[in-house]
Order: sequence, then structure tokens, then C-alpha cells
Amino acid sequence: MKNLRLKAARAGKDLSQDDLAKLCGVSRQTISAIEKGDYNPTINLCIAISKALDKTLDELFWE
Amino acid sequence: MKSTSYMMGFALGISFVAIFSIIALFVNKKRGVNKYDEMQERVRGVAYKYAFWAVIITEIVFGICAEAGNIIPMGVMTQHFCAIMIGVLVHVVYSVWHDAYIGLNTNPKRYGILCGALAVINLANGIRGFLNGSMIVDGVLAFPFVNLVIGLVFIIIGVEMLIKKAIDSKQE
Repeated sequence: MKNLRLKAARAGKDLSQDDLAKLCGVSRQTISAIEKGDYNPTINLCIAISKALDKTLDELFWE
Repeated sequence: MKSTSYMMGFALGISFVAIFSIIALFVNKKRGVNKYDEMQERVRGVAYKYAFWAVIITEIVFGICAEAGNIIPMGVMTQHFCAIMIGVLVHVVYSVWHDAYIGLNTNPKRYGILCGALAVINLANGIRGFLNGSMIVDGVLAFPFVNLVIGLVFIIIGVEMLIKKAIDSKQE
């Protein structure tokens, strides 16, 4: 299932996938896979993404 | 039985590749190259699994063919190296297709150039072996055939990388 909330939060911060990937220490493809719903990130990466986007885990990942 | 000089040359070649690989691994580790993120590590794990089974299946097929009367006319060393190259191909093709082959700090262009150079060197060696008659000895494919296989493997990897890059740039 696509993670549109993550995509919207990233766009809201005016960050590209590459920018967010660098902030979280992962590849752009990993961010792309998470947004497309092709990959379920570990809790560590979820926390890193949440911090980078100033959002809570619930706001980005809880359904 | 191969001559002593042939075996010495072969052992020297393998030793050179092994030493070069260990040095490259050490240097890359120090420079932080070839670090992978969690998704890439997971994908590479799956790729290793597929490669493992590919090598096992290939070795079984070669073994059955040998028992059945050398259906595949290949030398023993050639067969084993071909099986290894099939495993390498499966691992790399799967990893490249799932964005897990190039590490976080690796320069893809430099890697592409290295792949191209390896393909050219090995293909040239293979073609030279074919032309001077050392590829087929007594109706059996000898070791120079492996150079041809390695060259083809690197060409396949290079073509796949280009296709993947084109697909990714369309999606971005």
C-alpha cells in the first residue's frame, strides 16, 4: 500500500527523495520503495524519517 | 594432467586476484565505500540465496551430465568456474534490478567503467583463446572459455544497469 502521507510530508518540507534519503542515511531508492509501499522500513528508519520530517511515527506510518 | 608451468601460472593468477580483492575490500572499508542501507542488505540477502541455489543446481546438472558420459564437453575447472559465474550473475542481476548493488557512497560511473574494462579484457582473452586453438582441446572446452563467460556476464550486467537507469530516470 502506498504511503501517501510520507510523500505529502516530504513535499511539504520541500525535500526531494534524494534529500530525505541523505538526511536518513539511506539510498534514494529505499525512500522511493517506502513511498510506493514496496518496502516496510524497520522502526529505526521510521524514527529517522519521522525526525527528519518533524512528524510523529503515528502521523507517517500508523494506519 | 596439466603441465607444472600451467598449474603455476594458474595458481599465480588466482593468488593475484585474491590479494587484489582483499586489498580492495580493505581500502573500500576504510573509505566507507560499499555501505548498504537496510533495504539493500535485505535484498542482497535474497540475492545471495538465489545465487546459492543457482550454483547448486548448475553443479548438479554438470555432475549428472558428466556421469551420463560428458554430455557437456567441458573441462572440470571450466565447469566449476562456469557454475560460479552463473551464481555471480544471478546475485548481481537480482541486486541491480532491486537497487541493491551499488552501495551508498559508490560512484556508479566508476563502477560502470570497471565493468566495461573487465568485459573487454576477458572477451579479448576468450577470443584470443578461440583463435589460437587453446579454447577447445581434444573436443573439450578448456579454461579460456571461462574468459568468454566472464566477459558475457559483465556485458549482461552493464546492459542491465543501463536499462535500470533508463527506467529509474523515467520514474523520477
